Amino acid sequence: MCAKTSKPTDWAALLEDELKKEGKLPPGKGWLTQREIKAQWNIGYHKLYKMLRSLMAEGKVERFDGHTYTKGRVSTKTWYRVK
Amino acid sequence: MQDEKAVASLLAFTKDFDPDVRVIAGDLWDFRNLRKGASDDEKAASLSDDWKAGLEFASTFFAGGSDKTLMLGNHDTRLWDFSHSATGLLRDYASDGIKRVQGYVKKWNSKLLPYDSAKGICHIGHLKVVHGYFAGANATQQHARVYGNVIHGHTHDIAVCAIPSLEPKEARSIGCLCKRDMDYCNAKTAKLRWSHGWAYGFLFPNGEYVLNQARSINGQFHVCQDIKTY
Repeated sequence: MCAKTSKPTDWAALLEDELKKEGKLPPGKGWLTQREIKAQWNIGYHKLYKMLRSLMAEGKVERFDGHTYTKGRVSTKTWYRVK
Repeated sequence: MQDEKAVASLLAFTKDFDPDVRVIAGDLWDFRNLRKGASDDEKAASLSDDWKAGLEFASTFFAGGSDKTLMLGNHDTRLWDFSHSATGLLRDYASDGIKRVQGYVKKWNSKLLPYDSAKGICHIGHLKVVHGYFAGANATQQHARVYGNVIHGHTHDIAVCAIPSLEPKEARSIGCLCKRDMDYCNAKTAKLRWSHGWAYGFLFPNGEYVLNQARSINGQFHVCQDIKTY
C-alpha cells in the first residue's frame, strides 16, 4: 500500500525529510545497547540477559525501545540505562 | 547538476529540428541521496530540486515527437533499488515516486526502459541506444563488441570506436548535459574527458541512418539541420 501524496512533487520532499531523520533515539545521556554493555562488562550474552532482567525487575535499570535508519531500512533497537 | 547552457542549447535545437524520434538515454535524475552508502553531503542534497529539474527537462523535450523513449540510467534506477530495500514510510514514498515516473511516461506517450543490459535497449532502425554498461577509456570499444552499432551515454565523454567486423560495428559515446565540475569528481582526471553534447540524425525507411554529433566548442553548439543525398 503506497502512501498518498497529493502533489506530484510531494513524494520527493517527504522522502527527503524522512531520510534526514535519525530515527527514534533515547532522550538524554547514558543509554547503551546490549552489544555496548556486553563489551564494557566483558561478559557473554547469557549472563548479560540474566543481569539485565534482574536489574530491571529491581528497578535499577530502565529500558527504551526505539529505532534508527540504516541505508533506508528501519532497524529496531533497545537501549538500557542505569537509573 | 544540469549544465544550463548545454540543456538550453539542446532544447532550442530540439524545437528547431523537431525530431520524430526522441530518446532520453538515462540519468534524467541523480537521486544521490538514495545511493547505497550515501555520504552526509549526498544525503543533504535536495531530492525535490533533483526531481523537479528532471521533470521539467523531460516535459519540454517530450513536448513533440511521435516515438519517445525514456531510458533509466544507473542513477535513475537508485529509486527502484531503494524502494526494494527500504522499509516503512521510506518505501512508501519511494514507491509513490516510481508511480509518478510511470504516470508521466504515460502522459508523455513515451516508453520506459529499465537499466538492464539485455532489456534496456532502444532500437532506432539498425541503431541501438543504451544508457551504458561499461566505464573507463575502453568503454566505447566494449559497447561496440557487445551491441554492435550503438550509441551510449554513462561515460560523459564523446568518443567513436569501430571494431573489426564484416558488418559495420561502430559505437559512439554521445557526451552529457551535466556540470563538469561536480564535487565528487574534483580530483578525478576522468572528468577531463567529459564533453557536453548530444546525438541527432536522419533515419531512412530501410533502417539505415545518418548519425551526427553535436558538441560544445567554446561553449557553443554548431549543428546541421538538413540532409542532401548524392
